[in-house]
Amino acid sequence: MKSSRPPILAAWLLERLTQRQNREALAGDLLEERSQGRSDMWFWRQVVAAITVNCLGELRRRWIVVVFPLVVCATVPWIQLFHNVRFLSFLMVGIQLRWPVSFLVGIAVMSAFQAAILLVALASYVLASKSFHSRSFLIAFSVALLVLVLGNAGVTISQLIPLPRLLFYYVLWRLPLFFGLVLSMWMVTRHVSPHKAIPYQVPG
Amino acid sequence: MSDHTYLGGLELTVMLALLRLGEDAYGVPISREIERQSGREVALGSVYAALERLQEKGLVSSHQGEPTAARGGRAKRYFRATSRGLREVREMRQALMKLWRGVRKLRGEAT
Repeated sequence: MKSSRPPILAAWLLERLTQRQNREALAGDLLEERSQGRSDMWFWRQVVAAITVNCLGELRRRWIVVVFPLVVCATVPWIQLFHNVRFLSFLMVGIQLRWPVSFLVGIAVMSAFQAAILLVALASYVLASKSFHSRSFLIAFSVALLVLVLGNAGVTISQLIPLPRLLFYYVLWRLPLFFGLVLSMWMVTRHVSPHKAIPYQVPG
Repeated sequence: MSDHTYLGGLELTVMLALLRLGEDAYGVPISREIERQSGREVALGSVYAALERLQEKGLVSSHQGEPTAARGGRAKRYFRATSRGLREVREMRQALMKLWRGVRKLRGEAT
């Protein structure tokens, strides 16, 4: 007889990336169908569809989490920054050191600059949305710092590829800040429902 | 100002399946009913998302059932149409019927 146990990874993703309100009922429905002979492929399709629907719903409800970082990243004057004598001299001091120290200092300088912008933007967002909790703020900011460091390392390494400089100024150098801000904004407000929560009725 | 609620295509389909099934329908039978009547498979995640939107609009209500072993100890979530939901579907049907009647290209098709 065919095992009714669902694919482990699919079940794990289902428990974490679907809407909390319906998670238990949806997981139960999928297991019920699975126990009646549905295939692994069917289970995976259902999980991917549920996650996609949830992501689109989140995006519709929390559009500000994407739009605000886009605005912040678009207004950061990267070209002016890279032509600023003080910033360049500061960066050059680090870059002129021996490898890999130069690489690490370069990433640290870029990340520190972006972290300052991210901190101001994130603080403005939590104050405006009245969702400030010191612990979740610190966790979100720490995760964002990690994203900035890894992202800047990636962009620094990608400079070895001969790509147009403007692509770096207008797109690539802005990506770590964008993703860091999106993730941190989502983390500080993920427990706050953007719409009225509808509780289950208690059975009589 | 009108207090009508706009029903999307999937929302209307889910509402109709819910009404066909009667009281206390949950995800699996709703999804199966849609598949049986329309011939299209609808993902359970999409059905629940539509039900959630309908509940936000006050057109359906839900309550939790008992957990069962076949469902890995997870409870069912039962849905039923509210009186407002029934009224909205009825009014939408009338509006759609009026629109259909005026379409010349559909005249003469099999009824």
